[in-house]
Amino acid sequence: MESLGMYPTWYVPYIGSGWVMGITGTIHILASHTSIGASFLFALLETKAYRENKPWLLDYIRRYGVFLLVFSYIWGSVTGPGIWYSTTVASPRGISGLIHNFVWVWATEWVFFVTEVIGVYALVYTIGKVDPKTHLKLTWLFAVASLETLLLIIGILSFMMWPGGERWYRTGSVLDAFYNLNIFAQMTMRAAFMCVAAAIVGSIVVAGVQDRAQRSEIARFIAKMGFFGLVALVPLFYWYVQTLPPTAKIILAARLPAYTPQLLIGMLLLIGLYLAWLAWKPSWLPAPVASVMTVLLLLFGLWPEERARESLRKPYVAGQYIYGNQVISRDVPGKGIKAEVRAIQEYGLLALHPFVPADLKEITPRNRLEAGRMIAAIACANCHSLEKTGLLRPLPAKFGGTTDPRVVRAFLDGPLYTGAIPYMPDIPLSEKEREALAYFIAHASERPASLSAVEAKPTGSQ
Amino acid sequence: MHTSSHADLASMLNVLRDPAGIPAPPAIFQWLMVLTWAMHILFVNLVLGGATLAIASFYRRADPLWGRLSRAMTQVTKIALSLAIVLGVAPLLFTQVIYDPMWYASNVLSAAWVMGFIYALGLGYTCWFIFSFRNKEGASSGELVWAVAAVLLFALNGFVMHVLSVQSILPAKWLEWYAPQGVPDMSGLKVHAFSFPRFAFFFAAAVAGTGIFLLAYADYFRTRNDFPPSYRELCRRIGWQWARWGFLGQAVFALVWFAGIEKAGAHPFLWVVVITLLGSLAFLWRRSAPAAAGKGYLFQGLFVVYTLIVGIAREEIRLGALLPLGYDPMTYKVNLDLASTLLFFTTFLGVGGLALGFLLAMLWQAGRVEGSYVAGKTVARLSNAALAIVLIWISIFFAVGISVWIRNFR
Repeated sequence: MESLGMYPTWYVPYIGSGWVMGITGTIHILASHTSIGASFLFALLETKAYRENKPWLLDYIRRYGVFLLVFSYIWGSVTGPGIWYSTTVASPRGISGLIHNFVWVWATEWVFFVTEVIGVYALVYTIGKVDPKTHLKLTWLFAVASLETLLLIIGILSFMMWPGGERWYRTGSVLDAFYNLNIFAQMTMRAAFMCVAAAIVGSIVVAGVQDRAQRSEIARFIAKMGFFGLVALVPLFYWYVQTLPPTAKIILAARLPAYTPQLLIGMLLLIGLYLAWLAWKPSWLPAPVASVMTVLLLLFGLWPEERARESLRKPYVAGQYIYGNQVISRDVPGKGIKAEVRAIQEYGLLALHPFVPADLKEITPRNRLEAGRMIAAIACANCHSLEKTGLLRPLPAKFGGTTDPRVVRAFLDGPLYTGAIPYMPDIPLSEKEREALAYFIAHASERPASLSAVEAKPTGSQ
Repeated sequence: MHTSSHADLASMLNVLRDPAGIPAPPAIFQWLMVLTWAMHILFVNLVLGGATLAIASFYRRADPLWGRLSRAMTQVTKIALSLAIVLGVAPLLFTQVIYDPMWYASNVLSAAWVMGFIYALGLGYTCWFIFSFRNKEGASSGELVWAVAAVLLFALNGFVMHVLSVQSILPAKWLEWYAPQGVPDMSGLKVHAFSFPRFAFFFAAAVAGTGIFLLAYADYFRTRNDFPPSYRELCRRIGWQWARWGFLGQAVFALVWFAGIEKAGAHPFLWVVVITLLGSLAFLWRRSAPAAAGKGYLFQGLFVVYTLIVGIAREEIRLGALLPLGYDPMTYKVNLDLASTLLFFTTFLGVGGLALGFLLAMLWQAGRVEGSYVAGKTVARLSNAALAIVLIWISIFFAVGISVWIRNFR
């Protein structure tokens, strides 16, 4: 093997590129899920307005729609491609693997996405302009098209977790990858969450309705929708967990922050109380309280959930065949994909990486620190900060802050080399590479400052 | 690469291709990429040009016609921005399918700018929305802050996309950029390539595109009494001027840009672009704005075709840079996947045709009517067909999905 198809590395000090993806993704999920939930809320409310002759409901839809244009269609539609961009720069082979498997699925989603964007403008700006029957059909079209974007993206997201069996590796068929074990559980769980998100964000707009009777009627309608989602979330989450890979269950049980279950249960209870309050006393709902609930949902509901979902996939980023560090871990005969781990063992990671400068391909005592730094950035930084005070599972801290390279070596030679830890990739580095990496990690433990302060000396010819 | 030969470079570029291959012949992706890029850039033109015109006419808002034009262009820019983003997703996708080595390497090399692009776009979009809420009759000059901030952020976005495109076709320099003097720089903070004429060409396209749009806009509202002839004449006059100066700028920048391209004369579509520009200039300078009355749609249609030609020329330039280095997208490994290929094309034609057909037909007709609009038979039928097609689509989605799922997991 002459080289691996690996790209340059982007490293963000302290938070790692992973957090950049996480932040962008979390904003997108709140915006997009709210939008889809709200599209059905609009359709149901407009049906009610049409059947019960309550045109004032349309005014609420218009106001929520304008709010949605700003909340979901600015930041949602920007952070959607933003997830692509962030994964492109943080995990290029991961996103490439997904795109090359699912390009037509994504292109199909794009057709619905175009329908959705034109639909939301048409919906908001033609209320009162277009006859009620046509507008109602437009609103339902918008809702169904929005839902279809969800159906399509979930197949890809759930494949990221795992295909769920061996069949896809043999066939390479998109149908086998897309309709994976996790898809329906994740799809229904997210649909339930959308109802909750649409209700909470919708309550911000409810707070602005002046007529008390109208405000109560709308508030109770959206509270019911929120409750429906909240109640459904619990069994659907249980089903979701049943469809996770065995490694994820280990991580779920042992590797997530200890407070995660309490935090999520606490959020469920808080949301339940809030919705009950919304239904019971809608007149007591100031807009700032509704806004705070939205922020709480983002910070304490979605952010830990997204972090957990990202952790549960470990050590993979896609289909249990691409590791977080971009190395292909196994053969996929159905696609003609070959594992790369053994090649790394045989030739060395630096030697095979096309973007490693020539002077670093051969490790010497003089370039050992730079070589170790390079290996850490390539092989570890996708999941670990390299500074001891970093926020993303800092590597020096994982070794107890040791400054003794031999302690680090023991781990690199043992569990990491053999792939014995279920949530860590198999990284069988060469003898010299393990030595360099151990030297770098021990050195990083000594340094109080950032990785960039680990002086990078021009290596020169050896 | 500092020391590597073309053979090494070709080998690296081909190794960087995704080992999963692609699910259909590469030419399909290439054509879809060019086609959707043209659709995307048409709306980018409207964003950059429309926003600039909204600001320029805001300064003359003491004249009610100019004030109205400013408010109209503010709304046009807002919607064009949404469409530019959503239509931009497709060429972004298709580029990554057949030019993944170029796209990923270029992005990672300037990763901080790439992420800056996203948040600058969101901020610019937000600023423009704020301006759109505040640009009402009697608006104060202070409101321009939002508009100017937005335009600067959009220009920054254009700069980042430009840099990424130019970097992507210079693979021989990637390693030097990534590891100058052999020391890797993983910050992604630097941009490495810039071509002023190419960058300016697309800004001139925004001027020309907005001008042409105004000609069609003036014609579209001729059926409405609340769009008086004086206002439509103003739009037509400005449209003509902007088209003239925009095409002139494009012609100048195109000549400078193409002159710097190796073997430019061998690319037929570069010639077509130049000839089209010179022909358009001759026409626009010999005639005057009133000549455009009633021909706005024709000009708009021709501009769409011209933009498609620019897209093809751009692809020629990319191929002209990469083929000599040994990268040919037509040799990408194909792992044919008929099911997903069928999924896209049936959705594209069925949903795209009926659902988008309904929305666009309804919006087109409603916009031409003063006051409320009652859908006629054709639009009513289209609305039923649109709903039917998306519901049928969902039924097929679940029918296929459940059968595959049961086969694989039960």
